[in-house]
Amino acid sequence: MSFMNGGGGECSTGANPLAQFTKHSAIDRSLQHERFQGGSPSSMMSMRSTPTEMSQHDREAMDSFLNGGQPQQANLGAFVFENMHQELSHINSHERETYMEQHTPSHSTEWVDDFHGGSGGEVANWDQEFNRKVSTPPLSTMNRNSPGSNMIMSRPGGFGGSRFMPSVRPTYAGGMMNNSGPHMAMHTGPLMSSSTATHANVTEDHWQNQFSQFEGVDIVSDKGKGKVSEVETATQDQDQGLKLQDEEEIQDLSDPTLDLEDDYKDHFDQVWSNMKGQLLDNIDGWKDHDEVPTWENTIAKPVVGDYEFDDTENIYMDKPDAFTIGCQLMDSGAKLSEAVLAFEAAVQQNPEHVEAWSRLGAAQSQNEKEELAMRALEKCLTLDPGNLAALLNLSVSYTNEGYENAAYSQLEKWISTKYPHIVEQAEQENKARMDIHERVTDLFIQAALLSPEVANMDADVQIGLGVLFYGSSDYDKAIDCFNAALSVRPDDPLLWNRLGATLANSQRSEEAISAYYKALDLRPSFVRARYNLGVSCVNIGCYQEAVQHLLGALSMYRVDGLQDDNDFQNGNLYVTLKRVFMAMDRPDLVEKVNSGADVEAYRNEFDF
Amino acid sequence: MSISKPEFPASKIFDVIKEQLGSDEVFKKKAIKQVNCIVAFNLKNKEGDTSSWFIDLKKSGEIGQGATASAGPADVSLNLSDEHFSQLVNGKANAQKLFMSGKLKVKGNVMKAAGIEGVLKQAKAKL
Repeated sequence: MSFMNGGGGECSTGANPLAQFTKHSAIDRSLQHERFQGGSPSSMMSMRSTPTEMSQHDREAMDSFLNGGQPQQANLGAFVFENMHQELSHINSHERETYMEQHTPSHSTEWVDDFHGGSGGEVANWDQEFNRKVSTPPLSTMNRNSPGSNMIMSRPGGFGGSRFMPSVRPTYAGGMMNNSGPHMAMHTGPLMSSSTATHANVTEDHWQNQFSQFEGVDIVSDKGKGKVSEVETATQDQDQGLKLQDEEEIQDLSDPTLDLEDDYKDHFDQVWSNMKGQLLDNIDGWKDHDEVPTWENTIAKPVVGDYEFDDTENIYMDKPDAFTIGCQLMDSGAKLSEAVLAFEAAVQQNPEHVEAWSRLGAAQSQNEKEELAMRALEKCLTLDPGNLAALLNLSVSYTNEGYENAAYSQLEKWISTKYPHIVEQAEQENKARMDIHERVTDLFIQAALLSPEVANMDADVQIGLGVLFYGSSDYDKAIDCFNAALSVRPDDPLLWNRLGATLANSQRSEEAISAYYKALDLRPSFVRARYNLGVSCVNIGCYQEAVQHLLGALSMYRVDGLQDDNDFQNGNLYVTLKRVFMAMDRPDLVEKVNSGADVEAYRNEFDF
Repeated sequence: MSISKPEFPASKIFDVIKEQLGSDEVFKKKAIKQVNCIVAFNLKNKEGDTSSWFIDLKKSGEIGQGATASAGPADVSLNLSDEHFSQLVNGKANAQKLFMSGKLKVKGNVMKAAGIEGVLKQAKAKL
């Protein structure tokens, strides 16, 4: 994951001599825009996409151009400086004239100083502000696409999106904001603010801070801008008006017939998934909206209670080394239900056996018994709050059950146990107020950056990142993470299954199926992978195969000499099986399931 | 006791849900917790006919034809074509995309409508 987003940084000012120039022209254009109806922004766009490297020759050409001289050579490749030059000198002279004419000397000199400062390479007012924004660490671009971060950055980001280029760096657009006209504000205003309003108050604060920051900056740069400040006052007025309008917009948002443009789709997607993730988790909390929610009290946790043991006789109960037997059973690929029995015996013999609880939870989740898995893992964590394996597994279980925020908080505990220095550093940077998903993702990215090489990469960090992206429906990123983890641990059946599940949930059932097969090659008793395989078969309409896989998974629950029909009717597997029978138009088979028929009873019709 | 209609192929899901609500107490509790309102579906088939189904996931878990449950009118109505409903149920489309593209119209609280998606398609791959 960490190596994917290297490109962002270099494209900004640092390495690119042309960036100064781009900014230069950007400043001019916006002023011109107020005055002359503007030109097309295409020239700017071509400047944005220029390569990072610049030959010495080109650099000289550009220097001479910036200093007012003629380009040394007519042909400068992709950059058509002729036009730009004419345009620029035109603006240059015209603007100076008008400013000299219309404004008090003090103002105009300041402005001109500013202007020259920029062109001379000196860093002046605007440059400072611009550079300050650009100096954000490049890798933070990575989580730009996560919902939380977009909330915060949304205003400037939206600017770029609607006006210039879809993927403009928000920092850049932020710089643009000071001298942009009112149209832009109108573009983003309503939707963005409604998204923030529906989001938690925390984001609202961020937004307002940012907003007032921009306003402050406006005032500063007004000194030099003279006439432009009039326009900006108007903009601010308009913004005020928009705030009122926003409230109506929020209401409108619940109107189903509201027809939104494509531009806003992405933003809306994020808002939607945020609402789903956070609000639905905790609808009760949302009703008591008066108090400012802290993340700790908005995290809904499933109430699972204590681990319940089967009443049936456990053959491992009398074995003093039940834990060791359990580990051996796992390693040898025995039925997971058998290993579960061994671990159950181990924790009944010694309820303080942390590792046995952890392994029991892991085995139960592979055995497609999520609830029991969560109970075991929570028990494990009450005994040892820093058990890394249990934290990671529990976050996966919570994610499966739809408690994303609870999952993120487990991941946060995981990373603060394993990489305490990263968390300390983040606390110093005062990131605690960020959205939990964004905050934890940030921590995991920092951790991933510690060892970008495949050789010493921490696969668990990649798994955590994968779970985080999975939770926010960034399936492509999650897939990258799981693939990265697989490059370190190619023989981990759990990882193959996680990759498969992510592929399946991003509608790539065929690829998912091959990942599941890989997992099942490595561990044939992996009930969850078999169940997932069945689900994917249902999704592509292969009902016969789906039934076979589901029955195959169910047969794994049978342990010699034991009847495990405790959750005969309720288990995920039976629910899915019945659904497939309904889809096949076989109510007789549904009846058979409801009557509690043994798995073997289907052998005459299905091969498993 | 089928509540589906052959002219609306996707309405088969209502039979499935009915069966499940009737036989699986855990599923019913979970669904009621998740949705917590009465939902109506107004489907339109290829011939242009419309038909309605309701699910009372507020209390009773009752499901049937028509737009009104015994407990009262629906809190949320979802209007969409039979075809898009089938895509939704089979996981080939998601509610928010259908909503965004105008293929799904929601009358009532959109937030509540978001929960019903989880009831319609339960078979989700697990990490």
